Amino acid sequence: MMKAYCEQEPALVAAVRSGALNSELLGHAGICPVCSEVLLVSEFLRDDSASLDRELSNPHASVIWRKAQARAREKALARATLPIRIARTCAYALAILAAPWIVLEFSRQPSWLPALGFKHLAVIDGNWLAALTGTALVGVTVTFLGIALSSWYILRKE
Amino acid sequence: MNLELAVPAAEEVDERSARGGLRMDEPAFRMFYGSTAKPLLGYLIRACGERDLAEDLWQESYCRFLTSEAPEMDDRQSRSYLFQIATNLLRDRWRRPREESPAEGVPEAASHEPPLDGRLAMRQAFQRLKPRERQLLWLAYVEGSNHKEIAECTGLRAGSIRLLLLRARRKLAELIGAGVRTGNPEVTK
Repeated sequence: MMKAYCEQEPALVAAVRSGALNSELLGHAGICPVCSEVLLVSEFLRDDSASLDRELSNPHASVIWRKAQARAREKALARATLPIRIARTCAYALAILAAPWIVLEFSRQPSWLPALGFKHLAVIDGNWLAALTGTALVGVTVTFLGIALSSWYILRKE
Repeated sequence: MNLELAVPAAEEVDERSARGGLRMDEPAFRMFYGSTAKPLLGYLIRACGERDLAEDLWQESYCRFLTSEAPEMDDRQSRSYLFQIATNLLRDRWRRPREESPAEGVPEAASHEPPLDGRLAMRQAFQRLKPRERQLLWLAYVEGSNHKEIAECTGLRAGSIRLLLLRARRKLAELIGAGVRTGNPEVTK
C-alpha cells in the first residue's frame, strides 16, 4: 500500500513554488511515490497559476481603496446614528403600547380638566412638592436617565 | 491565530480613526494589493470556476478586509486573513438556495471521455474536482499554506486537512494521469 505522507513533501512544494528544484529532490521524487505525486500536482498547479497570472489584469488599487473608504463612511454613519434609530424604535413601540390607553382616556371627560388654568395654580397654594405627583416623578426620572445615557454614548471615547 | 476573538486595543482604534476607519493607510494598501491581488483573483477563479463571480468576490474581499475590525497583523497573517474572507464569501455564495457552485455539477473524469486538449484540458481537469478539493490544493500547492493556515482559511479542522489534501491530490493526479495516457503532452509539462 502506498504511504500517505513523506517528510520531504514540504521541501518539495517549497522548491517547486520558488523554481529551485535541485537534483537531490528530483532524485527523491523519482523513487518516492508520494513525492512523485506531489511533484506532478505541484507543477501542474504552478503552470496553471502562471498562465492565469499572465491573463489577469487587475483594476487599479485606488478603485478598491475608494470603494472601501465609502464602505467605512457608511459604517461610521450607521454607528453614529445608532442612538437615533434606537430612540425612534423605542418611540414607535411606546406609541403603540400607549395608544389603547390614550384612546380610552380621551373617550371620557377627564377629571382634571375643570382644574386647569389659573384656578389650578390657586389649588397648589405654594406647596409645589405636593404637586409633584407620581407620574411627574417617573417622567422626570426617565428624562434625566435618557439625557445621562445619551450623553455617555456621545461623549464616550471609542 | 484566533482572529475572531481578538479585540483591537485603544491605540489601534485611534490610529484607525485617523485613517478614516480603514485598517491600513493607502501606501501600505497599495503594497499589500500589489502582492496579493493576482494570487487572490487566481484562487477565486479556480475555486469557483466563474470569472465574473470571482471578480465580484475579489473586490468584496478587499473591502471587507480594509473595513474589518480585526487587530493589526503582519504581512503573512494579513494575506491569510484576506484569503479567509474570500473563502467565507465563496462559501456563503454556494450556500444560497438554487445557486450551487458552477463547477459542482461537472461530471467526474471517465475512461470513455475524449482526449484532453492543451491548456484548456488542464483547466478542465482541475474543474472536475469538488470546490473544496480545488480550494485545498490551490492553498497548499500554489499559495504554499501549511495545514494550520488552510484550516483557518477553510474552517475545517486542522487534523483533517492532511487526509482531505491527500485524497484531493490523488484525484487530481489520476485526472492528470488520464491526460498522459491519452497522449496529451501539455498536461504533464
